[in-house]
Amino acid sequence: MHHHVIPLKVYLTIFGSLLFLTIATVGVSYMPTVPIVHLIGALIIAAIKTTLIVMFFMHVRYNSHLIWSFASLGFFFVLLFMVFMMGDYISQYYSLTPATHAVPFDKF
Amino acid sequence: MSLATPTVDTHATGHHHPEVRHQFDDLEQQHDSYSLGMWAFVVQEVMFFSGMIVCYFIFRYKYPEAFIAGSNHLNLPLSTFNTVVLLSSSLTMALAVHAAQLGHKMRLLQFLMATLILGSIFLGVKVYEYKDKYDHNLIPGYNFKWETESTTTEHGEATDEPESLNPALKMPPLAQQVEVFYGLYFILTGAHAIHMVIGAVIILIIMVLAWYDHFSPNYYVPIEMFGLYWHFVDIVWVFLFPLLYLVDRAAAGGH
Repeated sequence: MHHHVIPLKVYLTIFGSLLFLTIATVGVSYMPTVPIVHLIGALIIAAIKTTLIVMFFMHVRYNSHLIWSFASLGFFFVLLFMVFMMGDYISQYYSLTPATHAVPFDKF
Repeated sequence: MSLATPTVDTHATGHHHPEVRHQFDDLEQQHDSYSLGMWAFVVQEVMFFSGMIVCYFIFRYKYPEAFIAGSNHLNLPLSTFNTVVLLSSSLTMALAVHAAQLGHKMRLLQFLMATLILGSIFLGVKVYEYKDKYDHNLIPGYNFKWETESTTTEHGEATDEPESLNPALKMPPLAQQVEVFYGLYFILTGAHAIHMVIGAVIILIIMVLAWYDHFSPNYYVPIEMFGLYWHFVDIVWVFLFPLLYLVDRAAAGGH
């Protein structure tokens, strides 16, 4: 047996943490604060849950460095994609609001 | 790194393990190669969903009120239950791989069965939710109607303009924006649900193979690789749940 067999206790602990974080993410959305805090809070909790699942349920923690770098590069590129796309949209004055450009904005 | 080692003709040396395919040197290299291939697939799936999620972020940035209104109309208790069901199915899948590693055939079959049942419960709840959207006229482009409280009349007068050739313009802008939210809701949860259905079919195939003693503690790669897929589907839901169901619940005062 050359593969790492993870003890059952680890799986159950991770599952418990995932349940706790699910309740936490619902709780965050009810917090009386500014909307961006809700979004960032939700994304941070989702990122923690993803890390737990990838590391333990998907065994990346016990896999070779090649798998480890492959998995993390994938998520890194998604992060790059989101940061550049949103950076572009937030910094420019695109208007998606009118359904057609034939109607001037103030006529709505 | 075993993938980089020079190949040794194990047929010639006579030490070839029966569970190692002929193109691999040993069990470990075989396992690493399968894992890398599966991870390449999982990463491209991550890219597939990230395109849709970035689309979601752009529209959420543009239409914040509509996203709050649309999100608060979704059923939170039911989706929280569904999140727990899906996380549980991930646990049973991890335990199935664990049983396969130890060579417990009956436990493997039981955990695969549990994963299949939990996945089916998730899909059943999803069908109920879709039916609910249909009943409330919330299917974009089909029967979409969104009743707005106060803003209807002040925006509604613009629809009398003769140049409004687009019938969609007869709706107030908030309704159009909420329709975009529901469009994203159906595309994202729909793509996720299709992945679940494919996963359920693969579980059935793996159960049949396991029943006929196809696997051993040395060879359980298909179960482990399918586990990666199933956990990936779980991760997608981990993001979809807060993004779709939990948009500023505090702002709308709950539902």
